[in-house]
Amino acid sequence: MSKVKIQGNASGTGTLTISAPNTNVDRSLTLPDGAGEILLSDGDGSNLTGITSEQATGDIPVFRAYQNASRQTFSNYTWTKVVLDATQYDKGSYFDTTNYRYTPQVEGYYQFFGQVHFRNGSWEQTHTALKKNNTTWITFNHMYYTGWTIDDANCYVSDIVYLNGSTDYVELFMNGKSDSTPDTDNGIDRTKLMGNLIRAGA
Amino acid sequence: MTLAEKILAIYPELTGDDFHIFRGTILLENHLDGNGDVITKWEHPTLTQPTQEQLDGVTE
Repeated sequence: MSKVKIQGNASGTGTLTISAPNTNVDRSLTLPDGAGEILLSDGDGSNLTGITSEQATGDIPVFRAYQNASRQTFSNYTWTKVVLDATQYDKGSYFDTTNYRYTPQVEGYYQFFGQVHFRNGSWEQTHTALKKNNTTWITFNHMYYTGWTIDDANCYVSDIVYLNGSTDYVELFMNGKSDSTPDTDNGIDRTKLMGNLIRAGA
Repeated sequence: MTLAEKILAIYPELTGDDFHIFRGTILLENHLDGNGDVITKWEHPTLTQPTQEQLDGVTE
């Protein structure tokens, strides 16, 4: 038969009291077959090994990147990566403002929201898309302004994407047809990509 | 001229729909990697993909 041993601490002077709850039901408490500590109910969970440190501490990756320095010209009918050269915030520092991509180092499912402000000329159509690893189109938003044209159009795209936490990345792409030189409008409230982890793990 | 404009000059019968990512058979992309606009898909049933020489021969 295994035994239960309660061992005092030779250095401490306090008294540890184990109290019974106010109950009329018989219950048993089985201790785990392993070494370790029992968490306090107000513990932060940081000593747990079965969940990520991000889950335990609430340090969830989240970012908001935008087109800052200048407007971006592109070609009609051509899917072009969107320049996002600044971040308003980027917890974890996973957004690359040189290659304009988000490569988080925490595995999980991420929610993204992208917006492109199509500026110059009258637009016949505008498109936005999220692309993973430059190989897989995740989702699109196609806007056709049939019978009329539009000046200054915002086009949005959103989806949830699984990323492996090491090499996977997501980029924002755009396309359109303008009667003038197509370009975007830059600014923190114009052309941007945002995202955050919504569930860690595979 | 852009790549799309050169292709449309070589094949005036093409329309914007031919470049649509679902309905179309031609896909043009720019990855901002220094290569500029490139053809990443050409699956048109009757028109062959223009050669670089053809594209270079198109001028304004």
